Amino acid sequence: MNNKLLQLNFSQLESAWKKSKNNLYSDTKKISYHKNLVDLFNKMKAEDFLGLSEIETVERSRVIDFFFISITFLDGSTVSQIPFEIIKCLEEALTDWVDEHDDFIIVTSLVKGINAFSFDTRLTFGDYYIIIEETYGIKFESKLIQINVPETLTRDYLANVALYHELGHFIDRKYRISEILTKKLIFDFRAGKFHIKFYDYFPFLKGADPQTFVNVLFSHFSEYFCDLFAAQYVGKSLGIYLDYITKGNPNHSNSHPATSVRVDVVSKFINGENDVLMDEILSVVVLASRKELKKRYKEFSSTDFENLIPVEINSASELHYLFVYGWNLWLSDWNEFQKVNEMAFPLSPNQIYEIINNLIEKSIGNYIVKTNWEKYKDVSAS
Amino acid sequence: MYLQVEEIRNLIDKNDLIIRPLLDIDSQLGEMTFDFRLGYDFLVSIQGREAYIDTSFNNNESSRVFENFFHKTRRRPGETILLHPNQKVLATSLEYVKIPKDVCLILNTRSSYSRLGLNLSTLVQPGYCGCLSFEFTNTNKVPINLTIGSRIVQGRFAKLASESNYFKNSRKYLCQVRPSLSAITEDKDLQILNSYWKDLNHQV
Repeated sequence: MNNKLLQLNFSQLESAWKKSKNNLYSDTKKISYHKNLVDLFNKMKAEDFLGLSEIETVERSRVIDFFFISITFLDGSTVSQIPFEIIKCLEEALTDWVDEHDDFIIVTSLVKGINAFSFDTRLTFGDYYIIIEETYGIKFESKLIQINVPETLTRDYLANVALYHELGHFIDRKYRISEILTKKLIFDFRAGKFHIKFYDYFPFLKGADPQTFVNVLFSHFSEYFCDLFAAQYVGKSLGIYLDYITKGNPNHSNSHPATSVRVDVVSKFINGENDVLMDEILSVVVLASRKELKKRYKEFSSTDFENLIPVEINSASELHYLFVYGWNLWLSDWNEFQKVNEMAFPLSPNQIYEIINNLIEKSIGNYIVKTNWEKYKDVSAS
Repeated sequence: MYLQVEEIRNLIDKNDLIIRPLLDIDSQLGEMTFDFRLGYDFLVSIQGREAYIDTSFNNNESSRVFENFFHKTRRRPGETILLHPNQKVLATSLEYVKIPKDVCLILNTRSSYSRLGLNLSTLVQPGYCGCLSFEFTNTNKVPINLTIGSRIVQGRFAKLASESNYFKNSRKYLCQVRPSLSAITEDKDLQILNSYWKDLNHQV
């Protein structure tokens, strides 16, 4: 890459930065990250690209890539857009699994595509932060966990159960769970310890050496783990949503197991049933992370949504159960709404959809407000 | 008849009147009023491409796309939002309420804020459920900075002679938790009036 092309790259960044440099954020970690970007930009602008070697030019270009990715996700997390209700739920899950959770910021990017939920690994697991610190002396105290959310679904809490699965990909990469599972399975196969039941979960292995399917195995283990990770928090809702987005696809692909098998695994986990796959994943997770895959939502019994009011949530574990409650209602007899509230007219599906999502949002929002009020009420009194 | 403090407290205790979250009942509940807080979602009026907001069906449809005249934004409790002179903002209460069927709620800006140029006066139907809708206009000559979560609107509860069924008719606004744009174009009488206008003006 020559210096002129690097200069072009930087000019593109400069144009994009003109807008993003004035972003306002609602928390100190994002503000601090943004300040680091300001410093980084100023240092790059002051640099003479003409004097750089080929390797340094490529490295600078990678830093510019980092910059673009950062502002893409931070733009979607500004004070005016951030869906802080769902972010709160994900932050609670992160706290369960990562002791140094304060070193991370969950950010979202709003994308086109109705089912375009995904976890972007580039910043969290790349070497960008190291390169920037070594080259410019700028240390980013927090790394971004970047999650893509379909723009049209930011307020769809029934669909947003998928975000727990995406957070699972971060946890998987952090503790290298799928990597360990894949290596272990190949090792066990070679050692003659491969259990025949694994063919139910990895049918492509029949008659084949697992080493030839190492990438597919890795991807499939990853999906199974992320499904279980999400099921800890949202129970069978994840299985329901999987069925919806995959349209019940009975076939596996190179990247994903068959939906019916995934739903079955989730169901077994929720019911406390074990089998070879579950045993394998549970034991490796504990070894790799010193954390446990277990039910982490607390059920509550409520008819508040049917009475058209938000639930009073008392703990983070109850927070996650809101999604299960919402899904149970969506799948139930909607006449209950009409009956309980003496409505002269039945509600349309779209109205039910709005009610459930609005009440989940407000229940989470109220929990956030109340816990912060209690916290700062005592601080101001002292 | 306006309800007084013990009656309001009684309704809350019996869950006949739902106010969630109820952050500080002692400071919010007065002798015959209840203070509601400013919520965190807003629709702020802006100058759009269209020349005017059209509430009739007689003209170009794009002037009835009310989204073009408002900008959506959010804040966190404790943060602020600035209202410029003459600027209109649609907001909601922080609290989600469900009002008894035999009570209506009369809302006014607290005098601390109306003295600064912020005015609101509205009625909430018996049986209403949702966050309360606030439509503020800054009538002052200078901008006003408002704190999200502050006690900004005062409500008086009036007892009715009999219960009223909020869901007797199909409702446009149901369990609202964010400000909504006007749904005036769903008014059926506008369709009738438009047909009459077309006939008068020989329009097809």
